[in-house]
Amino acid sequence: MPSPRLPKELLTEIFTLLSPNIDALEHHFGRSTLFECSLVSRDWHTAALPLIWSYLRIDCYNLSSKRTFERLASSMTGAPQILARGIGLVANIELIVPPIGVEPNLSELLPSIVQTLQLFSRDQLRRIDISYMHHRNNTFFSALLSTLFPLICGLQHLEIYGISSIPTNRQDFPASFDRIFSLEKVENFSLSSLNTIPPEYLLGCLRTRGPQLRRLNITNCQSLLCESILRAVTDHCPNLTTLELRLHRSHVNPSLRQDITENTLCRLIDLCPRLKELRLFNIYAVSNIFLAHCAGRAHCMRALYIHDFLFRTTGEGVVDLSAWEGIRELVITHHENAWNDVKMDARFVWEVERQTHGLTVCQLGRDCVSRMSLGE
Amino acid sequence: MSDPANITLVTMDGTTFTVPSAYLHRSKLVQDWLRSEGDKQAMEVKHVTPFVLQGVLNFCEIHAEDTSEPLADPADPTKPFEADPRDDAFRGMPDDQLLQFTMAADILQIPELVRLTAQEMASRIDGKSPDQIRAMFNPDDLAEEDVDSDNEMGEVGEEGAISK
Repeated sequence: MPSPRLPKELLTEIFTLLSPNIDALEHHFGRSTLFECSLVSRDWHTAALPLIWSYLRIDCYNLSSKRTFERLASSMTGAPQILARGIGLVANIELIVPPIGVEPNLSELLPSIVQTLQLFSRDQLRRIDISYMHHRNNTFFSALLSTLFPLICGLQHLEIYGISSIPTNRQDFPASFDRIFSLEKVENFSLSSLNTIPPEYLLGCLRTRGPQLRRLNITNCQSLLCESILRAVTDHCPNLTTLELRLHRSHVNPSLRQDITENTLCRLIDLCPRLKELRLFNIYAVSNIFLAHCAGRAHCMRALYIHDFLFRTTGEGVVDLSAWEGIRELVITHHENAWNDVKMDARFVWEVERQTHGLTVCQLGRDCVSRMSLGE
Repeated sequence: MSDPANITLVTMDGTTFTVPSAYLHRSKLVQDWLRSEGDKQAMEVKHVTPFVLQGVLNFCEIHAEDTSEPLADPADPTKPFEADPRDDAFRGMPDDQLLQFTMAADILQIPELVRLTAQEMASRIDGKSPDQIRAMFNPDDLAEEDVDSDNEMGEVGEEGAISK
């Protein structure tokens, strides 16, 4: 006699605990446990299929990609139809464009990948992660973007990682690259290691679509870590809940001066009142004045991470933490190694202990707040 | 009118359990019932056997004074799950009982118990073949069209493995 039937929502909850974040093809190639679950029964199949196909990785590095994507592309006209059903469930894709010379024959690969992308319906995709590794394969990349644009009008989450050699001027970016910044529904936007991307690309995006942005991450894009961008954020993104500005020291180009001011950082706190999570890594303007402004006014703040290698953020003079009643994570560091970090101002550390009550993560220089170390 | 400090639950076969209402403060179903029909004598919990309800109430009693924030429903799977030694009884139970407790947790809408039993089910399923999973949890029979569908799905996996 069959056991009672678990509702689909419950099966989904169980299945989400099963697999690491692997893509649809890897689920099939590796016969993941989730894939095996899809073969157990009709109910299990129905619950597993959307999870198996939620994320598709299009890796142009992989020599077997051509055959795989030819199979996917043919799924609309021939068997097995299960592939067509799966393609219809994909919400997130990761697109990895390799550097020239490393890839298999990209021109040979392009048609099958373009055909695969064309299987998606308009408005189907919600998230795209693009790893764009070299400006010299622009033709290939432009062809992919041209195929993608008509399909991603509903895109909410866009992450672009630039790796390897960096373009030095606008002409080096692929044709259509600026259209990435014109997507209308993007709420989460992340740009990494696109070191000399023209700031006006992002400025236009912030000015026209700033109010809908919820999350913005700019990592190792030195040309974007500037006063004009941050001012545009403060002036046009009142609904932002998460902001990360990060510059790794190895990416610092000494010839490019970081002109973000302390005043604009304080304006950020005032004009983006919904900010829950703020991460500032090697932003030179971070200071005790900014910290005091944040502690006294950022009422929604739940997580604040500051890495200040200039040792300006010591907490000295910061005594009013009345806005941090709901803060859960507070980390202020100055050195990569906590043992070599400085001791922060004793009064500030004491005020953190006294005025905050829900911290689950807390590091202040070399100190962890004692309440946290006790796990209370 | 029932005692507001206690609540009486009635299982599918009419067995009654009266426990402090505070035990069930994490059950959304019970809280909703208390708000809308709390003046009634007892709350029916259909589809739950006395044995399973007793186990659920034991869980609720153990965790009645926990001060941790309630879990989201459904729980965020990316949040780490820390095994609590007080819940070892749930981790040691047979497969069919675990399935019934999972169902009961879902019916009573107790996210912490759903997460516990779902985590245990996931760890038992991990690495198992479809036949092994069927032997453990004996889910619904496959209809003819499902067999076709499953075979088709299996072919994709086999071909995928070959093409790699």
